[in-house]
Amino acid sequence: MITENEQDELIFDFLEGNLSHDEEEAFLILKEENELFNRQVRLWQNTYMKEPLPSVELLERRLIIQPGRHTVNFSSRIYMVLIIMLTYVTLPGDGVEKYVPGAITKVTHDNTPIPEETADQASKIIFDCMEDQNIVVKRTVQTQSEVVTKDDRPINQPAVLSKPDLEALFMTEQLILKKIEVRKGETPKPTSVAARKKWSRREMRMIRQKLWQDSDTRKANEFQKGNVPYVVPLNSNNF
Amino acid sequence: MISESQYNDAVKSYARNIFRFVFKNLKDKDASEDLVQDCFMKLWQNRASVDSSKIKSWLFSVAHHAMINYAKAEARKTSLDNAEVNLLSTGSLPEPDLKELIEKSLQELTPLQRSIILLRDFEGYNYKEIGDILKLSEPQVKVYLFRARQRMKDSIKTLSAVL
Repeated sequence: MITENEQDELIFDFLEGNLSHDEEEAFLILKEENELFNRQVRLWQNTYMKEPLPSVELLERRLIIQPGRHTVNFSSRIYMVLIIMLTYVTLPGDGVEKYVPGAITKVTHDNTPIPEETADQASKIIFDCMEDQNIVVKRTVQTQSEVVTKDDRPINQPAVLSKPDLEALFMTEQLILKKIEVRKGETPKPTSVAARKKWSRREMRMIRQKLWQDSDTRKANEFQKGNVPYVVPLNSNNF
Repeated sequence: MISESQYNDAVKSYARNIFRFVFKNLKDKDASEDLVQDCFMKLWQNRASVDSSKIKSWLFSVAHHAMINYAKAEARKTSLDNAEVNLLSTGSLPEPDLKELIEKSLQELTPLQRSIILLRDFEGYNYKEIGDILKLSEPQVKVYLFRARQRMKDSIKTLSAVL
């Protein structure tokens, strides 16, 4: 006579495949002969679950890592390194004027302080820097005197440029671009972006650098890092 | 160390298994999906330390522990609500079939017993593999499995007699 627990253990071992061949045969005979025991076996069989797998395609799609989306691939890394390098490449004219960290004043090569320029002047300086190093100082001085005589706006106050001023700035830029084309020894191409459809590498570099110099974040980073030469920034509020 | 492709293969191969394992326990689709996502997120975060040949058992182990934590938190949050819902639902219960009885009996098990049953029945793990996942010895797994099935059997018997 076996107890209920022993009977359960026997059925469990049979269903789990833990019985030997002879024990299995004896078990099957008992099951056939004893209806009560057979019912117990059926009850135990109900505790074994087999179901079709649920559909989780959407979940899988979300979990799978898309190449290039979560990781930085090789080309992206190269591009990032190039951008960082471009940030620190100095244009002609760099070092002529610079900010001293902490004091935030502009000085020349021989540490002579330069007064703050107006926004008009800043624009001119940027374009001059892009043009040629030798002209930078001259033009800066000239422009400064012009600004002082023409305009009594307080220093650092953003200038509101009129339409003719903006057009003049645009023309200056166009002239510079034309000069660049001639210097490269190539046949002059139409200077209009729409006509050329794309910028040259040098132009892209200059424009990118100009944009970087505009940003206040860039300025703050330069100061934090230390004595990095910095070109007089173009105030974006003026455009 | 697990590569990106190995990780993606693991998602394709095991996501539905882990989901079913969790869903059978929690009975909440959204929570189960979140939990599966957490498991795979942990796998990706720990890809440097996880053995690529043991990804499946690692995932089940993490899923089991996360599930227990979730169940504990939920039990604390909604113990009163559940009591009310159960009272209401038992009032208008439709005639259950065997599948429902089995589901009900499964829910009456402890989380550990439930995990063992699910790993055994759905994933086909042997006692040793279940022991590795749940940090139990082989004899312990066998005893837990026996008690779990015995409890389920008694539960099915009682429920079918009552209903």
